[in-house]
Amino acid sequence: MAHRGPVSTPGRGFLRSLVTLVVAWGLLPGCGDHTSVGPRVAEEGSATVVSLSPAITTTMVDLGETDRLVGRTPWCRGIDDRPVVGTLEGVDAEILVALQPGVVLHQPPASGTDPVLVGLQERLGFRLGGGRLDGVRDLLVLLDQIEGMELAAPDRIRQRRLSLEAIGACEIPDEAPGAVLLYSVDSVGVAGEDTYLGELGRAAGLRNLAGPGGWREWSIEMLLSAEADVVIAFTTPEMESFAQERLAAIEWLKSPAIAVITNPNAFEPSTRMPEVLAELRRGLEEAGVTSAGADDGSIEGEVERGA
Amino acid sequence: MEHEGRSRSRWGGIVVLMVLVLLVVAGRYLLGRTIGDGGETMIRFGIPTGTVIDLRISAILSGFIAGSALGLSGLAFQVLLRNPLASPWVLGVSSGAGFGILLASWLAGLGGVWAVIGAWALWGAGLPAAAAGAIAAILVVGGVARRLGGFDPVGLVLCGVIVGAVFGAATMLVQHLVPNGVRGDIVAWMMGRIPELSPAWMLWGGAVMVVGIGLLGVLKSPQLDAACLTEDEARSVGVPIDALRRSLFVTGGLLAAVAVCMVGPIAFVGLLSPHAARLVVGPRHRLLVPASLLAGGGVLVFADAVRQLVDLGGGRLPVGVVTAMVGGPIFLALLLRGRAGS
Repeated sequence: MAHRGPVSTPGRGFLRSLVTLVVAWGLLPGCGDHTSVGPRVAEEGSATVVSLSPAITTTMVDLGETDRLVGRTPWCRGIDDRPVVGTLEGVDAEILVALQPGVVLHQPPASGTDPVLVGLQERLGFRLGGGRLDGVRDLLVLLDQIEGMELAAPDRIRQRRLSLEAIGACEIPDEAPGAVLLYSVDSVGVAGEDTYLGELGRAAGLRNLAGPGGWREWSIEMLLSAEADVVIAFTTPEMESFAQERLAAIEWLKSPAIAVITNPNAFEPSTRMPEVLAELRRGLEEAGVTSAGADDGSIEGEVERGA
Repeated sequence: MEHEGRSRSRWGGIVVLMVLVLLVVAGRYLLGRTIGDGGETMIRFGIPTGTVIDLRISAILSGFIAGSALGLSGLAFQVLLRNPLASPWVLGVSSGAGFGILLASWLAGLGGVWAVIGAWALWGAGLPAAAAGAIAAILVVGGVARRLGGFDPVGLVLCGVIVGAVFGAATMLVQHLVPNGVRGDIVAWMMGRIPELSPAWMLWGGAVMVVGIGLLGVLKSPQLDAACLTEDEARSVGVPIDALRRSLFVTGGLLAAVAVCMVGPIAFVGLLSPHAARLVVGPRHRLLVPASLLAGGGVLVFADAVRQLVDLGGGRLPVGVVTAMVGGPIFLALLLRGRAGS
């Protein structure tokens, strides 16, 4: 049985003590003892790299630097034998310590770089690179960083830069076919002209009917009312037939040409964008779309030379 | 004589709990992951060296402090509702705190004056934002409950469930509004994470708050005991029950906000820990408060240790998944054992 005697008033005194504790939290100064254990300085030109971004991994692999990559995320392609260092949950700090990379490349979220990563950088002494990758401009900045850190051969970087600059510089005439670019078919996910898929569409000579506004969800009604000349669905090989069936099942007001692109590189902005562009052009050709083809041939030319 | 024996066994219970927590902490300290000779990820069991020592101590402290905060928060709400299955989640407080941080992060990305407001709210690991969200949830739940006729436990639970659902929807709204690439970060944060490097001020601040509130709870344990009686009985022994409930409301909300700041909105620990502690040390709050503190910390550190062992190819499991998957069966086992014992 619980206490039965008279008891004192707890309310105000208790709350006053609580306020003191809250103030204590706020007043405690930042006094972390970040003792370094001796940073590992990688030799020039031979730094090992942990990539915490699938797009950056693809870029490094594309630049021929697969051997440099010692750690990855679960979603990175082409280096399945390397340990997973970063997940949705964050960085696995002990794995990063064990790998002792010279460089960590990442795509920080809008809220900024993971404080754990910053703390580990102070302790382990690796260089931290990367940044947001929303399109061609960001990729060019990434290439500058990779070149500055001497993580890839300069001539390869130059090649890729030329291809990307050609994509970024494309302009579309008003009479170009109007297109809707879908990154998802099940729920209608549309890529605006300010996304990297939008940049690819522009480079393929298409007028993006979604306008600016990034990645958005449309209703099928909106898709119909856009009255596109061409609808392009970017999807995986496994989902190709589903996407085709789904788009074929729609009763279009004005039947568009439909192209389904299954290049896995379409799902991340990397230096393989020219490869996706080449496939997009093939898809448009097969669908019978004659686009303006705003390209002087340098983009595909670079892809072929790179291959 | 019988009372003395029971009291001794209760103290024995808290000693057993302390030993268990020490074992869990030692286990987490010795357990980590490294890279094998072939480049594969391996579980490493042994005394850490170098930087790894700091990483493990930081993870243990973060997990223990956040878990303790959740344990005490759960206890506060269980006393408040006179229901051993209440938790910060049931009252929508964790959802409110989580929404507060996400809203501040979104505002910070908008630019202009919104960015200034967002940045301010994210100060101190987001404590102002989390506390504001938790307090908003408390005010709504408390306000509606009052209009329904006071701090009625059933009314509070119903309000809490609805407020939690509304904050959940608001969280989805923020997810909808942020750019595509940021949604993954929000999902990751919602799964919970135990940072392996935390600023010292956060660890100290959290520890001072948790220990301080724990001590206050022990000092006020007679009132807390009385609060578990019927309202009339509590008043008859001189407990100003409304004031006490207000204190518990604020304390529980603040502790939940601290935990959300440190490790994200992790469910289940606040529910499991006080209940488990009650089975070990009984219903008296003189022991139940420190036992809930220990149990909460122990559960989260244990979950962190378990996730070092489980890698399904995508790296370590998020801690929120482990707390639910490990905590659920343990909770059921404790419940069944408690029933069998009684």
